[in-house]
Amino acid sequence: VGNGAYFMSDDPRAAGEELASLRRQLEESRRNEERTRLMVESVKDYAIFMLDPSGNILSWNAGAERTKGYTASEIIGKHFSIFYPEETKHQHPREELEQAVRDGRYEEEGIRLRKNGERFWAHVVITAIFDREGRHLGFTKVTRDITERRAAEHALRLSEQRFSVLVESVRDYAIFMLDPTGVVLSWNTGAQRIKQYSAGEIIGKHFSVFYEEKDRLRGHPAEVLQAALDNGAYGEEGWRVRKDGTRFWAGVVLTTLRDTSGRHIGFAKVTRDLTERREYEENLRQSEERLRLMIESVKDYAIYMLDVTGNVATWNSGATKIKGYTASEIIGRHFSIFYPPEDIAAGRPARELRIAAAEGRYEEENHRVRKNGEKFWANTVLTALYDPVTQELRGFVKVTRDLTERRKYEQEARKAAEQAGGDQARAFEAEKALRHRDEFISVAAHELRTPLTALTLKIQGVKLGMQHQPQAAPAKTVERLDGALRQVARLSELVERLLDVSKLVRGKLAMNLEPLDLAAIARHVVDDFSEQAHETGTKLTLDAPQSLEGQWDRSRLEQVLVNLLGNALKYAPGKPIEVKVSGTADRVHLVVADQGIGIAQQDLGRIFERFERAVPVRKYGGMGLGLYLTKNIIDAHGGTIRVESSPGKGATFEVDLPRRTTVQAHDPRVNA
Amino acid sequence: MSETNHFVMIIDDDHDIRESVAEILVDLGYQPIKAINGRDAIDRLRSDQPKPCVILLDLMMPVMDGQEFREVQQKDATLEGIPVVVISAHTHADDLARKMAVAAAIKKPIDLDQLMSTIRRFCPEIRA
Repeated sequence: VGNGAYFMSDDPRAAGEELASLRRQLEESRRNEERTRLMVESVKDYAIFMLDPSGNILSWNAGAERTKGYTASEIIGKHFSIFYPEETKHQHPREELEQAVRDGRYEEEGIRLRKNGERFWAHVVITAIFDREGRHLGFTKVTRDITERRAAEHALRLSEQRFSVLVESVRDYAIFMLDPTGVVLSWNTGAQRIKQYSAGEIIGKHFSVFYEEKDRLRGHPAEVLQAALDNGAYGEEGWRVRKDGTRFWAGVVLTTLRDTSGRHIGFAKVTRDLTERREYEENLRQSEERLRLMIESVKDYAIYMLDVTGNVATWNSGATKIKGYTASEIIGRHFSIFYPPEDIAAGRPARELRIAAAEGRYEEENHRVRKNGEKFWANTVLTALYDPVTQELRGFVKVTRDLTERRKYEQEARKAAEQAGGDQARAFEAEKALRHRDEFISVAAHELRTPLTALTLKIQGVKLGMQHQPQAAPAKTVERLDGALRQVARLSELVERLLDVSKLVRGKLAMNLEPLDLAAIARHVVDDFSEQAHETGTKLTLDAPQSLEGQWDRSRLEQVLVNLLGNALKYAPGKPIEVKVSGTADRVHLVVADQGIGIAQQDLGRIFERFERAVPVRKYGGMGLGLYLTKNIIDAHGGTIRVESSPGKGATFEVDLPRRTTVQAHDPRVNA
Repeated sequence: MSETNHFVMIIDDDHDIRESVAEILVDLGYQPIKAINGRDAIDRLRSDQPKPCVILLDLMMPVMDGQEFREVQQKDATLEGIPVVVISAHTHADDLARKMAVAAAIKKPIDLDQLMSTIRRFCPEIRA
């Protein structure tokens, strides 16, 4: 039935038909209304009911009963404000109806009450009903219980908030999002900490700024995105750049993000700063490398590995030195070769492996055999190596020390200690002293042999000349005898030094003070060294004033200069050497600077000690006494000596002396 | 005297020993080539100077010592054929000389007769 007017026909038959039709339509309309009513009544998920214009309830359906808890007979006729909680019931219902009348419709989500007083979230639509003449008939109200949906939404929101707070607050990982082209969309605390950009600085920029230039140039950022897109995710480790340009070693995981329809919406990127881990790994690798080099270079211990059956697997230089085999000769051979035949016959090598495998370690002192068949007294430690994971035996490390020398010293020291009363500490000191003494005697003998050789050669030369050219000019003979006398002087000098050391040890360094000119002494000593400097191509310069007067011991002051200059020429041949003397009112200053091999930091402290040397004796002879004597002479003059040096950078020795010495009484070792 | 094999090289860092040996070599009719250490010797041997008939080698020297000199010499095809005599004050000079596979070893202080006879083994005799 439309809104139009009905026009009756004048024809009664036709009018009868029209009437019948109208009746059918009315009947139809009533059936429709009935169906609608039944349908509305049976709707369970929506409360659908009618209000009169003032808000009293006119109808009630099953959904209303279910939602609100009232039956139709309980509620019909009551005012609908009964559904509102106390705080809203006096105002909201009236306003809502007014708005529905004004706008035809009012919609909201709000809190409502059930019959039992329970609150629930409701979605409410109130529609105003008017008849054809525009009279207000009342309202239909549709209410839906959305408590569960609200709870779910709330839970989701909460969890999103929590997740966002979580991501935000993570400090150890940079977690951020990229759009599909790689532009940064979000930024967390960790990202700021690691990459140093603030969110404001970086959001909207392309993530390629995090890469090194060479990576950018080769298109690596795009490759990374493509890899993540192709595989869903992509991870790598590599250098990345912070805002300040410094590099860090990053662990990166990129995950492709798609929405529910599968559309690519961007990437999640998690970056971790692994610099420390990398440094740790690098340090570990280097320390392993150092350890390997150290073991290889150890000369006093044979350190090598055996496989599980006892075949030699590695070999160091100490092993070569002690056992006599080179690595290529011995690797792969069974270690029983190091044992005397009687020990092999007794099955000792195999027994030692068994004990080490069972107990982890086996140690003994016993005879071993070198490659040349010579027996020696050795301390050996055999350590089993187990796999840290499977606990399976991997092999053995063997450390062998040649105790032949020590045994000899022990025997001597024991004898000495017995004489000293058997004291342990004194026995140890005695052993050390004996060892020092023997080393020193061997070095001193070598030092004495050099001028002795030159002396012998000079005298033999004289003899040769006499035999073969007796009538030759005597000038050559005189020259050779001069040379011989120089060697005698050199020998005497060495003997004097040895005696000086002996005196120092006993606290008696005699000083013979007299008025001297340090500038003149320096010129004289530098002059003496000029020939040697010329031969080695060394530029030797002296910077000295006209004179520098003071009271010193002439021969000892010369000795200081000779020692320092001699050392400079010895350790820095061919490189410029500068000697400088200067003075103040009451002090003089001597500097000898070279540009030679220099002195390692750890050796700087001990070079002034007796018998010490910072270099191998094989390359640089000498008794190891020069600086020891130098320091003691300077101490005895009340002065100081110090050295500045680093390896490869040369050494600078600086001596400071008072012009007049007053210190003799201060130094217990000095006895004028 | 102009033949190349009349040259004898002396390598010693000690000025007095080097000069004394050189003087005696001159007396014996040889031309000495003086080197102050192994490095200096290698440089001289690789220059276009005449090659010596024998090399007298000290062991303990700065920059390049006797053993290092020997290693370099043995690896150089133009130098490895020159016989080397070790002259050393080292207590174990004989052992070292054997290890270094040199032609002979002379201990310091040098015995002149031993030096002369050793040089004559490798170089033509100049005078009786």
